[in-house]
Amino acid sequence: MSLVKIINLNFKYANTDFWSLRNINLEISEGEFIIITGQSGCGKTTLLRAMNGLIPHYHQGEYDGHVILDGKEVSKHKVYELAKIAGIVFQNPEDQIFAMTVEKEVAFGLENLGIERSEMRKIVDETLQQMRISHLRFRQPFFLSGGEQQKVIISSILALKPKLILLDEPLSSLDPMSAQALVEELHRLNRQYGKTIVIAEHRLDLLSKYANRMIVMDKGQIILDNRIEEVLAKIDLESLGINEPLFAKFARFLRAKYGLELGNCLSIEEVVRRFNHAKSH
Amino acid sequence: MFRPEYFYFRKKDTIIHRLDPRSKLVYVIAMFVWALIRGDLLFLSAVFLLTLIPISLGKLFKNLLISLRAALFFIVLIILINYVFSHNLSLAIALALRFMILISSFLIFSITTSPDDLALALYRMGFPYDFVLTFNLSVRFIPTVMRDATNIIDAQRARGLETQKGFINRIKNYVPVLIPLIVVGIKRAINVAESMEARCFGASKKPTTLYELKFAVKDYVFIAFSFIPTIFYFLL
Ligand SMILES: Nc1ncnc2c1ncn2[C@@H]1O[C@H](COP(=O)(O)OP(=O)(O)OP(=O)(O)O)[C@@H](O)[C@H]1O
Ligand SMILES: [Mg+2]
Repeated sequence: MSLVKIINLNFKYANTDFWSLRNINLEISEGEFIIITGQSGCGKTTLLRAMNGLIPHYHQGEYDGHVILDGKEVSKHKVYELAKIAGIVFQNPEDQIFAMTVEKEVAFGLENLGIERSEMRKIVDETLQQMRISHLRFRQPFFLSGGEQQKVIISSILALKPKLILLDEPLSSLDPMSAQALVEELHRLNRQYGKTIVIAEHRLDLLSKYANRMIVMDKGQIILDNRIEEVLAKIDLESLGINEPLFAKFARFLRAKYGLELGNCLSIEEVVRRFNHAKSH
Repeated sequence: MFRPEYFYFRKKDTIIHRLDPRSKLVYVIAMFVWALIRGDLLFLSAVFLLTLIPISLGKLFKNLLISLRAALFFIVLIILINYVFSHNLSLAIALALRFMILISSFLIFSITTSPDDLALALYRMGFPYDFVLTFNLSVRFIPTVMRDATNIIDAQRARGLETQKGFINRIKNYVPVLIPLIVVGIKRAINVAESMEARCFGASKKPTTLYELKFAVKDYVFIAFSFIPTIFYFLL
């Protein structure tokens, strides 16, 4: 059984006169690491919201089709039930910080669920360790750096033990170093803890190495959905208005200039290695 | 430059900071009663001096000075008006002292109490969870809104808005700041509510809490301390 199954989904926000999602069909299996990309306004955030029930419960509108999350029809379950399966990290960290200390931030969801205190303590401890931020436990999240805040928010989601973590442009507010660190942390959650990760992002160069699949959207539709190497090797993302990773651009240039077949590459080192290899033959 | 840490509760580790918010609440209410129950110089001076004990235990002298300086205009006004009407200098000073007691004791409460501990205290006193959380969030978002305001002011200044000249002009000039600030605020509120939903807000009728408030010996001592002016009341 797939973790997420979307069948013929169309969605139009109330007060708009266009469809923000059009004819979406999608299946996600457990353990995947997926990048959703596309130009601004193409519907990435909307698609993430549809996966954990914020659409149609929090954002109302015309909703047509089915979204099945871990066997549950999303439109028929409460957001808080779905939140235990799919956690979402939104774009702006500041809007997701409610508490005066990191540990209380992490406990927020558990408090809402009415989890007993001793159990809650245990989960908070575990989660802080899992994200390696135990040292921040008593700090005020508002005064942390962007990267630390992002980790705190991810912890607060992890505390609910979701199978699926949705992230909406988590790198956009981070400097390159913290972005790199966060990407590695997500990779670890995916590898070590088996969390399924779906991430909407423009900054592809950092992420490509870790994702197994890439979905490209345009005007509310999925126009590409394939293994990431395939997408990067075969498609000119630039022409779709998407910031192509440097290595992909480089590989395209080498292929065109020297007529070499470089295969699928996911880093600049790989491009260079394969290029040298192809040239010497 | 905007420095939220100057305006905001910061954790400090003094005995006053560690008191249960409920005992501090009792203290403030008691002090307000003492300040209002009698209007003579001797009694009010004694009560005011007494508030300096928790002020010094909580390392709050600097904060008190800043607050009194900010209130200086009103203190002088109280003295002047009362002197003009009663021709009684000691009464006029006593009334100013009354005002200073209110400032000093409220400071002890507000600066040393973490908003979420206060919220927890309110929750335990039987206030509804929604109310308590609203309170908590409004405190939490003060620095965020202040930062938004600073950003908007900067943006509007860059477009030629003047915020300095003349009282009326200043008020008029704040309209282009206020309207975007409200719009930004509403957008934020929608985002905040959305991410609260995504973290199971409203799942349980009886949310639990990570910590429980506990009365300790120091709390009983502090409450007893709040009643020391009883002695002054009968002796002075
Ligand atoms: N709450 C809303 N109400 C009405 N329309 C909305 C709402 N949120 C998004 N839209 C519209 O739906 C379309 C898709 O928006 P969405 O936010 O999903 O795009 P996105 O790919 O996430 O863009 P970005 O990269 O800018 O975040 C846009 O045209 C947008 O204006
Ligand atoms: Mg978006």
